[in-house]
Amino acid sequence: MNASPLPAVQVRGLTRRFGAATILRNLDLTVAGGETLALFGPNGAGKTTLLRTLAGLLRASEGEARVLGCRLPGDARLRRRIGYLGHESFLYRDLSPRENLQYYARLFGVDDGDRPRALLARVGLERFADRRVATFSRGMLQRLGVARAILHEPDLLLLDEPLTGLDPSGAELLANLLAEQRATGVTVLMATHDLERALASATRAVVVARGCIAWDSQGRLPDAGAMATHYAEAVAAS
Amino acid sequence: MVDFLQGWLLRLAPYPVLVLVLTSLLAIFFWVPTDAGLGLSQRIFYYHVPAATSCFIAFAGGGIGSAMYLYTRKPLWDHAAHAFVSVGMLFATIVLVTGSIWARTAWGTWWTWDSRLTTFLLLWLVYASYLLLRTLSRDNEMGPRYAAVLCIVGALNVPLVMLATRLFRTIHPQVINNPQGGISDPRMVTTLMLSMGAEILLMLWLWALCVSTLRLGERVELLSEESYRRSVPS
Amino acid sequence: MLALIWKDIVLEARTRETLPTLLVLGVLVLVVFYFSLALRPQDIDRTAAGILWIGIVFASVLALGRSFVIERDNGCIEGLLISPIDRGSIFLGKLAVNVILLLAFETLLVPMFALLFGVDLMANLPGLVLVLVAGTVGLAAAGTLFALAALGTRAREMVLPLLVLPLQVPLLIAAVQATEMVLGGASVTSLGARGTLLAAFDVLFVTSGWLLFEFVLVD
Repeated sequence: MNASPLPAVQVRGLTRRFGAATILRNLDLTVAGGETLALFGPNGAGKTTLLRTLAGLLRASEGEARVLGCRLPGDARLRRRIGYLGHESFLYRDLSPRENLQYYARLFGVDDGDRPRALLARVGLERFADRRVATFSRGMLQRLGVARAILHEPDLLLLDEPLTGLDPSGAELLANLLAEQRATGVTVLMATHDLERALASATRAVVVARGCIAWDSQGRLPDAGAMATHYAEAVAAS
Repeated sequence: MVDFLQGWLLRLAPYPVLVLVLTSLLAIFFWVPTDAGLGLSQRIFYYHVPAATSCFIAFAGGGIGSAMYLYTRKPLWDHAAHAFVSVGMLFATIVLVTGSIWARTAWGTWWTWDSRLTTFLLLWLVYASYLLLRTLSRDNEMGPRYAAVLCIVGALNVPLVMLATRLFRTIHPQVINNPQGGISDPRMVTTLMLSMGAEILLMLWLWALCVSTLRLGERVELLSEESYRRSVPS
Repeated sequence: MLALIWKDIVLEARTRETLPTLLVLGVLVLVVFYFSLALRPQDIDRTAAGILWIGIVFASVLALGRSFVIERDNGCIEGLLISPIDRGSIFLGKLAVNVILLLAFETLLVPMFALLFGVDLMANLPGLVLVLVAGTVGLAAAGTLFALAALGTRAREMVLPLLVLPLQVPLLIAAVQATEMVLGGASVTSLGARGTLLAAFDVLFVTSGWLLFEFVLVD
């Protein structure tokens, strides 16, 4: 799918409260189709809450959000077009990776034979295709999680700290996968703490602090050193 | 709307309630004639039946409040529903206790499994589990939602419960026969109506009080969370 | 939705957690009741149906409480939420799995019950099966709807019986009476009000579960 003129993500005044705490404050963000956006920010800044809201897992307390042209909360058709990888793997420990992917393939209505097999090979897990997921290491779980997220060929990928648990080869694999996704016009939003790796894959970077966007690179992506400075400044200012 | 209703009730209700309750008490004990068949104990009927009516109204209110809460997500509706159930429970307890006393004085047994009392027992249990759910899920944000679902299912269940207990009656004899059958004296009707009005109004007033308590509680919680947040540097 | 059912069955077959526990608990309840009530042969006729249903209810409440525990590990319930499946179908899928599980349990329990209590099942076997299925569907629907709510409390799934039993008691009244009649050889059509009531409960619980489940799920 080519980048369409409609923004992939359009958020205006997004606010989300949990009891007395306000996690997202009046957040505004527009992401064009095909962008790979890196979300940086300290813990508790609201990156996870933002991604979860876009994925449809949370409802905003106030404000408006549009994803792929549809107002949130969306319907089944919208969910089919979004891929989400959160902190938890969404995998069943007593099933094998092949079975897990088959299950999700059926849930999303995509081919449950060749595609899971191909993806398992792509993420380097074909040797473990029939072992119970309970035996997997953190890195293997993460790879499988990534496979699950892109299984149904979504138009929008929301990745929450995808690099956790990945060894260098895993991180490289992810970078390659992201490059492939970008080539097909998929929009990616990736929250992470790894400045260097993220910048290598991204086309744009923002810093989220205290519930809103503290800094936006817009079109010009800085190098890692400059990014670190921007980050520190943005966090201090908020 | 809840706000409006509750506000007016709080302001206007206390005096009529006082007047009605006093009047109905006087009527029940001094004015209305003794029932020929059942004797003095029959006067408990003037508590028992209005309590049952108030209870039903309260539980219906709870069901509506819960449905509105699920639809609008406004906490005020949740407070309304919670208050209705709490007050409803109070009146349900009154029904059970007065029913039991009546059964004892009139027929010599503390409890009888006749269909009406059994219905109320089951309702009491359902709404007790509602209150229990609320207490146990206090830490959970979704708590009020779960409770609302329980309340709606409970309310929808009521007609079926009444049918089921009538079915059950085929095993246990019906003891408390329809009291309305024996009402001949117009003073009895008046007393009943008076008592009905008193209890319903009392129920509504208690409801209003309960809602305001819940709202205050919510505010206190928010404020204490906020002050904690401010005192802890993040 | 079928994917959900398939997945749960595979998981149960692999881990074999729920069915054996159900069975053991069911038999235990029957035995305990037999001894604690010191039933004489002439009492059994009147009480057998009730005891069978008590066994089913207590065991099933346990199984139903667990039906969402597997989804809680690794956040799998959110995996369902981000997929295109609609919320009502999640309920129906889980309900189907629970019903299948409970019916499998009952298929083993009922013969044991007949053996222990000396009850003749053959008087109207198809009728008995129908009544058991109808009662089970209603019980399972109520339990499935509130299982997630129970998990959200401090006492976790232990609290499910407290939430759900009051709602299930009227259903039980109808089910027990119907079972008694059917064991005595009555035909299904002669069940009258009991049969209608059972069906009504099933419709009520399944429909309200289907409609209200999304409120139990999404934030």
